[in-house]
Amino acid sequence: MMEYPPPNYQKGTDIPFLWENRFDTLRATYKQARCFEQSKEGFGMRKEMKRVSVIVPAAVLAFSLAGCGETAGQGATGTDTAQTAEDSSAAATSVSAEDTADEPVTLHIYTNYTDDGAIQQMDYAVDEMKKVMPNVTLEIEPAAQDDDAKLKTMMATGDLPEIFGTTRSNLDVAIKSNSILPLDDYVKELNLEETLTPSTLSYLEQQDGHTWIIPTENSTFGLIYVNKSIFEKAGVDIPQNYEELLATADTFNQQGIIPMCIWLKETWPPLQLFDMISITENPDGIKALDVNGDALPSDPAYQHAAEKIVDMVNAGMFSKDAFTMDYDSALAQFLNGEAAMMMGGSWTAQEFGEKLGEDNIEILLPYVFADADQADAVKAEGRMSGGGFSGGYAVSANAENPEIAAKYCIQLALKNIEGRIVKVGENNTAFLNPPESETPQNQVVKTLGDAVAKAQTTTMMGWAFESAAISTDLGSEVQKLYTGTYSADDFAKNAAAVVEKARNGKG
Amino acid sequence: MHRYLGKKSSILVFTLPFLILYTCILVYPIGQTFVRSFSDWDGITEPVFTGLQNYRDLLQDSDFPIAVRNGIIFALVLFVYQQGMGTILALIFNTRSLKIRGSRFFRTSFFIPVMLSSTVVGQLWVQILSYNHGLINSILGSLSESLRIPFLSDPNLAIYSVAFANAWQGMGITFVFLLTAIRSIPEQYYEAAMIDGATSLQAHRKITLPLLQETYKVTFVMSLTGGLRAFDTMFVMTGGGPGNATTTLSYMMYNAAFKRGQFGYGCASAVVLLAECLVLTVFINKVMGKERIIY
Repeated sequence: MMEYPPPNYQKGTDIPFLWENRFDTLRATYKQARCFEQSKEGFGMRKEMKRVSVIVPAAVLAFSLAGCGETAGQGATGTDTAQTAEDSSAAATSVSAEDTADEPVTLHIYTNYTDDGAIQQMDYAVDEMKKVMPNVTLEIEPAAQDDDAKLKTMMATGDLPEIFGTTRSNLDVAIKSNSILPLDDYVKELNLEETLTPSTLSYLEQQDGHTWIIPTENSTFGLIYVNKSIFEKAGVDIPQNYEELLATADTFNQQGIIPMCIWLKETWPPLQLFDMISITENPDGIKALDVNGDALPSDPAYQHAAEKIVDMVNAGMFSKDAFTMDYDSALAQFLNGEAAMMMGGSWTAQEFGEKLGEDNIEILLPYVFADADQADAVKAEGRMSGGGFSGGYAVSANAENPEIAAKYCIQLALKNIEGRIVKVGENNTAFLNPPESETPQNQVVKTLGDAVAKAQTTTMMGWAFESAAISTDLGSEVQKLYTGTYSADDFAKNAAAVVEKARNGKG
Repeated sequence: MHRYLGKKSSILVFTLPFLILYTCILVYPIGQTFVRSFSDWDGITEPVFTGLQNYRDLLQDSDFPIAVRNGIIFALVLFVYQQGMGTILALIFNTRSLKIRGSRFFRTSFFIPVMLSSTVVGQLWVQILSYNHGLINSILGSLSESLRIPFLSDPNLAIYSVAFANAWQGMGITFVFLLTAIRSIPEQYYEAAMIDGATSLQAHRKITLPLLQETYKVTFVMSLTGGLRAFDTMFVMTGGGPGNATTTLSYMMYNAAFKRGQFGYGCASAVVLLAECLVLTVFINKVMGKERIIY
């Protein structure tokens, strides 16, 4: 057998092919022999490898799955994003089986706690509740702006906190899934007839005649705000009927001013404007199109409203950027003086008065969308767009201390309404004896208050439909009107189909 | 060692954790979506079997043909821009005779939009395309007010505008794929072609593009299925509007499930979308996988 490498082999010299080939064969043989020796030693290593090959994948799997599921003792919310409303770190441990009035209790709430107004009213409410139920500590989990997707997930998994904020459109599914506690007995116990106005008391009768949700805000209304200085500068009179309103569009467009500011990325603003126009012929407006209503979008009042929207779009009444605008952009557009009018809600009356001057802001009610021969009559009848209630706080059916949770929930909700009056300066529609506002109401708010007091009919806000299907699909159909390419006849036909489908239980 | 790792049981042990994860995260949800598409389900209570009712409702929905059409338009815009621009840029930056100053900077900057979130890209393009204040319309408006273009409010233009924003964001990844693939083509082929008298264009047509076949298969699938599945850009930019001008099947799925609470209907939309993507992927693989070109 030839030695490897051969003794006369010199590295780097030219080697004939055969020699090179021979070396490759020898090299391979050598390696094979070496491997055999190693494999004999490696037999013991194989067992070790087997052990390692079981442990390593198992460890990887364990680490991968460690992130799933809850750890014990995270509480009713099952998350670690809760914020405490007070600074104290001495929050009591969670509920015990037998509750007494003095025993410390921690409740959790999932609610809107992101914008300034919501934070102000909630902080006020929590501080006030410390005087009423001092043994209760509240932990707040800010709600995500996700169309209640997280709330519904919590309902599905049974992880609802003791108290949660919800809209009316979630009520049906919450009742069906046994996620929500009826509050009738607790409402009676707290004698709310002595505190609340008749209209607010009427909101407490909900699905099947029971009380499931306690409202957390005063009634809100849809309005047209007018920047008087822009009108004066343009030499345009403030319109008092539809024809005058339509005529302002041309003048403002020529001067590079947006006649009316509205944001169309959400469905409720176009629905609210549609409501304001439709109530000039049907005082019930979009309320009559809800699942328990008695009207259809193909009725004359709504078809005429659709035609007026198309006319306004073609006249250039709205910004071409409206479809990409959200609430904040629209607000900025009006406050910066880029728009002469704005379709907005009653909650901004105080803010507009402060920022643009209380003598500079005028409020137009739905009569401005009535034809010239009907506007005075509609004005005299005091028809308002909006009102009603869209949601509030509810109690989870799985709350460990349902009585404490229910009583705290009801009173917290009412303190929230108080907070809006005291801290934000909102108009009171809820209380027989409202508290004093820390922020003196400006003239805009007072004018609005007078209009609300004289209102004979109200409808509802565009987000407050009982049926989520009608809210989404009807909103989508109304939104299409603002493209200017969707005819009122197509709207009437398609929107009527949507409403009928929902009422027949298929949508 | 090779004998050990070559055993099927060893392979299974090492791949099992990831197979389990893959099944839990991908296979099971897809299966459940398919099953739930035959039910009336609000996402919370027990689903009620309704057979093909959801699919019938979907086909009768007036928004369905518009959603499918918008999806196809979106996919085509992504395909044309990303493949076209990606190929041209990859060829330019691979040309050794063409010395571009700062080429590394350019190569990096093409990839930056890929790393941005969809929200940032969407908001950026909303500002650029704004009718009143956008960059493009400000330039056009300075020439003449009548030249302003309602990119996002014209129902006929909106889908192309939103698709372009998405295409712009994803072009960088196609560029990187193609540039890497071009660089892996041996120089000898081009030298041989030059010796035979081929021009640059002929060399690219006969050598580069055919040898990129496998890479194009991947990028074509990414562009086309990405276009069909697109959701985030239109959610941020237009919310599916104006009207339903930028609504696609994925947006219909979102509306049905999370706004209307009709998860069964949403699952049916998802299944149709999945079927579209599968058919497209199979078609591309069939057309482009006929013969692997080897020189």
